[in-house]
Amino acid sequence: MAKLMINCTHGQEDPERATLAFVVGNVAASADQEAIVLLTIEGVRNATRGYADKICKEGFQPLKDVMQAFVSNGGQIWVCGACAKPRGITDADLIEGAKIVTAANAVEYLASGAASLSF
Amino acid sequence: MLETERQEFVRDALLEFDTDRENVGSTCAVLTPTIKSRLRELQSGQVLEVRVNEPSARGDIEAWCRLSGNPLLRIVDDHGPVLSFFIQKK
Repeated sequence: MAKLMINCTHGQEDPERATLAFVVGNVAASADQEAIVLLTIEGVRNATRGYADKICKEGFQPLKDVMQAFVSNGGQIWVCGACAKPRGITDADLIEGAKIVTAANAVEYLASGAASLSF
Repeated sequence: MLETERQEFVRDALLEFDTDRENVGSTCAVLTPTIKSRLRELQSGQVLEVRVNEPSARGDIEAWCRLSGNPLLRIVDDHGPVLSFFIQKK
Protein backbone atom coordinates (compact mmCIF):
# COMPACT_ATOMS: atom_id res chain seq x y z
CA MET A 1 0.00 0.00 0.00
CA ALA A 2 1.37 3.37 -1.01
CA LYS A 3 1.09 6.61 0.97
CA LEU A 4 -0.19 9.63 -0.92
CA MET A 5 -0.60 13.23 0.10
CA ILE A 6 -2.64 15.42 -2.21
CA ASN A 7 -2.48 19.12 -1.49
CA CYS A 8 -5.54 21.25 -2.23
CA THR A 9 -4.92 24.99 -2.13
CA HIS A 10 -8.19 26.30 -3.59
CA GLY A 11 -11.82 26.68 -2.56
CA GLN A 12 -14.76 28.33 -4.29
CA GLU A 13 -12.53 30.68 -6.23
CA ASP A 14 -11.33 27.73 -8.32
CA PRO A 15 -13.86 24.89 -8.15
CA GLU A 16 -11.93 22.74 -10.60
CA ARG A 17 -8.77 22.71 -8.49
CA ALA A 18 -10.83 22.24 -5.35
CA THR A 19 -12.59 19.22 -6.83
CA LEU A 20 -9.70 17.54 -8.63
CA ALA A 21 -7.69 17.09 -5.46
CA PHE A 22 -10.50 15.05 -3.97
CA VAL A 23 -11.17 13.20 -7.22
CA VAL A 24 -7.59 11.97 -7.25
CA GLY A 25 -7.71 11.27 -3.53
CA ASN A 26 -10.88 9.24 -3.95
CA VAL A 27 -9.41 7.20 -6.79
CA ALA A 28 -6.43 6.43 -4.56
CA ALA A 29 -8.51 5.60 -1.51
CA SER A 30 -10.85 3.39 -3.52
CA ALA A 31 -7.77 1.51 -4.75
CA ASP A 32 -6.94 0.80 -1.10
CA GLN A 33 -4.03 3.22 -0.96
CA GLU A 34 -3.43 5.38 2.12
CA ALA A 35 -4.53 8.83 0.98
CA ILE A 36 -4.56 12.19 2.71
CA VAL A 37 -5.86 15.41 1.20
CA LEU A 38 -3.98 18.26 2.85
CA LEU A 39 -5.95 21.50 2.66
CA THR A 40 -3.95 24.70 2.70
CA ILE A 41 -4.51 28.39 1.94
CA GLU A 42 -8.09 28.84 0.64
CA GLY A 43 -8.47 25.09 0.43
CA VAL A 44 -8.99 24.93 4.20
CA ARG A 45 -12.49 26.31 3.71
CA ASN A 46 -13.53 23.13 1.85
CA ALA A 47 -13.47 21.27 5.18
CA THR A 48 -15.88 23.64 6.90
CA ARG A 49 -19.50 22.62 7.25
CA GLY A 50 -21.68 23.71 4.33
CA TYR A 51 -18.90 25.33 2.28
CA ALA A 52 -18.43 22.52 -0.26
CA ASP A 53 -22.21 22.38 -0.83
CA LYS A 54 -21.84 25.36 -3.15
CA ILE A 55 -19.02 23.94 -5.27
CA CYS A 56 -19.79 22.02 -8.43
CA LYS A 57 -17.57 22.26 -11.45
CA GLU A 58 -19.23 21.36 -14.75
CA GLY A 59 -18.33 17.83 -15.77
CA PHE A 60 -17.56 16.72 -12.22
CA GLN A 61 -19.58 15.36 -9.37
CA PRO A 62 -20.41 17.97 -6.71
CA LEU A 63 -17.43 18.50 -4.43
CA LYS A 64 -19.44 17.56 -1.37
CA ASP A 65 -20.19 14.13 -2.85
CA VAL A 66 -16.58 13.50 -3.83
CA MET A 67 -15.40 14.47 -0.34
CA GLN A 68 -17.93 12.16 1.29
CA ALA A 69 -16.89 9.29 -0.97
CA PHE A 70 -13.22 9.97 -0.19
CA VAL A 71 -13.81 9.77 3.55
CA SER A 72 -16.05 6.71 3.17
CA ASN A 73 -13.25 4.98 1.28
CA GLY A 74 -10.84 5.61 4.14
CA GLY A 75 -9.31 8.89 3.03
CA GLN A 76 -8.25 11.48 5.58
CA ILE A 77 -8.70 15.24 5.34
CA TRP A 78 -5.99 17.30 7.01
CA VAL A 79 -6.49 21.00 7.49
CA CYS A 80 -3.42 23.19 7.82
CA GLY A 81 -3.59 24.92 11.17
CA ALA A 82 -1.47 27.86 10.05
CA CYS A 83 -3.97 28.53 7.27
CA ALA A 84 -7.09 27.82 9.30
CA LYS A 85 -6.29 30.13 12.20
CA PRO A 86 -6.13 33.48 10.32
CA ARG A 87 -9.36 32.47 8.58
CA GLY A 88 -11.08 31.95 11.90
CA ILE A 89 -11.57 28.22 11.36
CA THR A 90 -11.49 25.91 14.39
CA ASP A 91 -12.14 22.23 15.04
CA ALA A 92 -15.76 23.04 15.77
CA ASP A 93 -16.26 24.23 12.17
CA LEU A 94 -14.98 21.09 10.47
CA ILE A 95 -16.85 18.32 8.71
CA GLU A 96 -16.54 14.71 9.81
CA GLY A 97 -13.30 13.14 8.63
CA ALA A 98 -11.33 16.40 8.77
CA LYS A 99 -8.87 17.50 11.42
CA ILE A 100 -6.48 20.36 11.97
CA VAL A 101 -2.80 19.46 11.72
CA THR A 102 0.52 21.22 12.01
CA ALA A 103 3.31 21.68 9.50
CA ALA A 104 5.31 19.10 11.42
CA ASN A 105 2.55 16.53 10.92
CA ALA A 106 2.65 17.14 7.16
CA VAL A 107 6.44 17.01 7.03
CA GLU A 108 6.51 13.84 9.08
CA TYR A 109 4.11 12.15 6.68
CA LEU A 110 6.08 13.24 3.64
CA ALA A 111 9.37 12.24 5.26
CA SER A 112 7.99 8.79 5.91
CA GLY A 113 7.93 8.23 2.17
CA ALA A 114 4.60 9.58 1.00
CA ALA A 115 4.30 10.71 -2.60
CA SER A 116 2.72 14.10 -3.09
CA LEU A 117 0.68 15.95 -5.68
CA SER A 118 -0.64 19.48 -5.54
CA PHE A 119 -3.64 21.29 -7.02
CA MET B 1 -18.06 -15.21 -30.73
CA LEU B 2 -16.90 -12.58 -28.26
CA GLU B 3 -20.47 -12.01 -27.15
CA THR B 4 -20.59 -15.73 -26.43
CA GLU B 5 -17.39 -15.44 -24.45
CA ARG B 6 -18.94 -12.66 -22.45
CA GLN B 7 -22.09 -14.63 -21.76
CA GLU B 8 -20.30 -17.85 -20.88
CA PHE B 9 -17.87 -16.31 -18.43
CA VAL B 10 -19.27 -16.72 -14.96
CA ARG B 11 -20.06 -13.58 -13.08
CA ASP B 12 -22.01 -12.89 -9.90
CA ALA B 13 -22.94 -9.29 -10.53
CA LEU B 14 -23.05 -6.74 -13.33
CA LEU B 15 -22.16 -3.07 -13.31
CA GLU B 16 -23.14 -1.18 -16.45
CA PHE B 17 -21.36 2.14 -16.54
CA ASP B 18 -22.79 4.39 -19.24
CA THR B 19 -20.69 7.55 -19.52
CA ASP B 20 -23.59 9.47 -21.05
CA ARG B 21 -26.01 8.51 -18.28
CA GLU B 22 -23.44 9.16 -15.57
CA ASN B 23 -23.06 12.66 -17.00
CA VAL B 24 -19.47 13.03 -15.95
CA GLY B 25 -16.80 14.89 -17.84
CA SER B 26 -14.20 12.30 -17.03
CA THR B 27 -14.85 8.59 -16.57
CA CYS B 28 -11.59 8.19 -14.66
CA ALA B 29 -12.95 10.35 -11.82
CA VAL B 30 -15.90 8.10 -11.12
CA LEU B 31 -15.49 4.63 -12.60
CA THR B 32 -13.06 2.98 -10.18
CA PRO B 33 -14.68 4.38 -7.04
CA THR B 34 -17.98 3.05 -8.41
CA ILE B 35 -16.39 -0.36 -8.92
CA LYS B 36 -15.07 -0.31 -5.37
CA SER B 37 -18.51 0.56 -4.09
CA ARG B 38 -20.12 -2.29 -6.03
CA LEU B 39 -17.52 -4.84 -4.96
CA ARG B 40 -18.40 -4.13 -1.33
CA GLU B 41 -21.68 -5.91 -1.99
CA LEU B 42 -19.97 -9.14 -3.09
CA GLN B 43 -18.33 -11.92 -1.14
CA SER B 44 -14.64 -12.65 -1.49
CA GLY B 45 -14.09 -14.71 -4.63
CA GLN B 46 -17.18 -13.52 -6.43
CA VAL B 47 -16.87 -11.92 -9.86
CA LEU B 48 -18.16 -8.55 -10.98
CA GLU B 49 -18.60 -7.86 -14.69
CA VAL B 50 -18.12 -4.19 -15.54
CA ARG B 51 -19.40 -2.97 -18.89
CA VAL B 52 -18.30 0.47 -19.93
CA ASN B 53 -18.62 2.48 -23.13
CA GLU B 54 -15.29 4.29 -22.85
CA PRO B 55 -12.01 2.96 -24.32
CA SER B 56 -9.88 4.73 -21.72
CA ALA B 57 -11.52 2.61 -19.05
CA ARG B 58 -9.08 -0.19 -19.86
CA GLY B 59 -6.13 1.73 -18.46
CA ASP B 60 -8.07 2.81 -15.39
CA ILE B 61 -9.36 -0.63 -14.51
CA GLU B 62 -6.07 -2.42 -15.17
CA ALA B 63 -4.25 0.02 -12.90
CA TRP B 64 -6.93 -0.09 -10.23
CA CYS B 65 -6.89 -3.89 -10.14
CA ARG B 66 -3.10 -3.93 -9.74
CA LEU B 67 -3.27 -1.36 -6.94
CA SER B 68 -6.20 -2.82 -5.07
CA GLY B 69 -5.25 -6.47 -5.45
CA ASN B 70 -8.60 -7.46 -6.95
CA PRO B 71 -7.69 -9.74 -9.87
CA LEU B 72 -8.73 -8.72 -13.37
CA LEU B 73 -9.69 -12.11 -14.77
CA ARG B 74 -10.71 -11.22 -18.30
CA ILE B 75 -11.30 -8.38 -20.73
CA VAL B 76 -13.77 -8.84 -23.56
CA ASP B 77 -13.24 -6.37 -26.38
CA ASP B 78 -15.22 -7.03 -29.53
CA HIS B 79 -14.17 -3.65 -30.97
CA GLY B 80 -17.68 -2.34 -30.42
CA PRO B 81 -18.67 0.52 -28.15
CA VAL B 82 -18.70 -1.54 -24.95
CA LEU B 83 -15.82 -3.21 -23.13
CA SER B 84 -16.38 -5.90 -20.49
CA PHE B 85 -14.09 -6.45 -17.54
CA PHE B 86 -14.40 -9.40 -15.18
CA ILE B 87 -13.02 -8.51 -11.74
CA GLN B 88 -12.81 -10.93 -8.86
CA LYS B 89 -13.18 -9.63 -5.33
CA LYS B 90 -10.09 -10.54 -3.33
